[in-house]
Amino acid sequence: MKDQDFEIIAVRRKTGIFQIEVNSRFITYANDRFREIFGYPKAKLENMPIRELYLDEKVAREKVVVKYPTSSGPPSPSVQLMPARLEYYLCLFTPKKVREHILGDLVEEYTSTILPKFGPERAQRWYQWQVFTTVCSYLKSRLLKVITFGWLVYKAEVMFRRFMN
Amino acid sequence: MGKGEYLGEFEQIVLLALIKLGRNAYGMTIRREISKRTEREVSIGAVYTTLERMEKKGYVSSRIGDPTPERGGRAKKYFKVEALGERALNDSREALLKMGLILKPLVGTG
Repeated sequence: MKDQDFEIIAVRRKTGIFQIEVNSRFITYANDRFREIFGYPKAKLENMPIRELYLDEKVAREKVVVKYPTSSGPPSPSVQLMPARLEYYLCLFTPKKVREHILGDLVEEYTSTILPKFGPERAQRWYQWQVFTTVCSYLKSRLLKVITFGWLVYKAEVMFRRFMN
Repeated sequence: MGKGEYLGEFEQIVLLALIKLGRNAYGMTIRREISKRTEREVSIGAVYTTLERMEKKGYVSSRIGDPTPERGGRAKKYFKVEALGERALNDSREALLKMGLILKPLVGTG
């Protein structure tokens, strides 16, 4: 299988994630996954300037090896339509260990089912809704943990006061 | 079986979807299977939070698949029901059935 060449335009580093722009589309990676693919040691990656990363051979190689083999063609317009900002929010609110899998599932369903079935406009709305509800699910579970912890602290304080009196 | 070991409705649905899908059970297929069978829209986040919770309890286990181009080079996370999960599912369904038998005459007399 021959690999197709694509131009990487920019590499962006944000809190906890990396974004590589390939043919007008941003691919988002969690820091851990980025390190895994490109093989950077943690300390080096965190201190490396973006420009140096962008010019690095490892990043250039990744664009042809991992992403888009010729048989599957260039990134389709459908993939390019996926909003990078939403991926960023998803990465921000979901735990590291499932982040990549959730993003992969959404990309797969968006490109294979939703877009061909409903068209770009509805597909975008579907994607936005999925990101929103997913973020809500994780926020809800975090909120429940905080409330439970707060309730336990309150109960402990009440018992302590009773004991002291 | 202790009080805390009964499964919630959505947990039961997710476990049943895992059993139905077998070796092909990962986030997207689980979500689609639930949407198709229950005719209700489920978010991928709700599926993952439930699976994570059940994995902590030992009801399900997971393994990481290979990255694929159609997923933007991201790997799939496959899930499998464990014996403990099957038992919890059976016990929960049995408890509901028993409650159904108790309720039956009450419905008739109303």
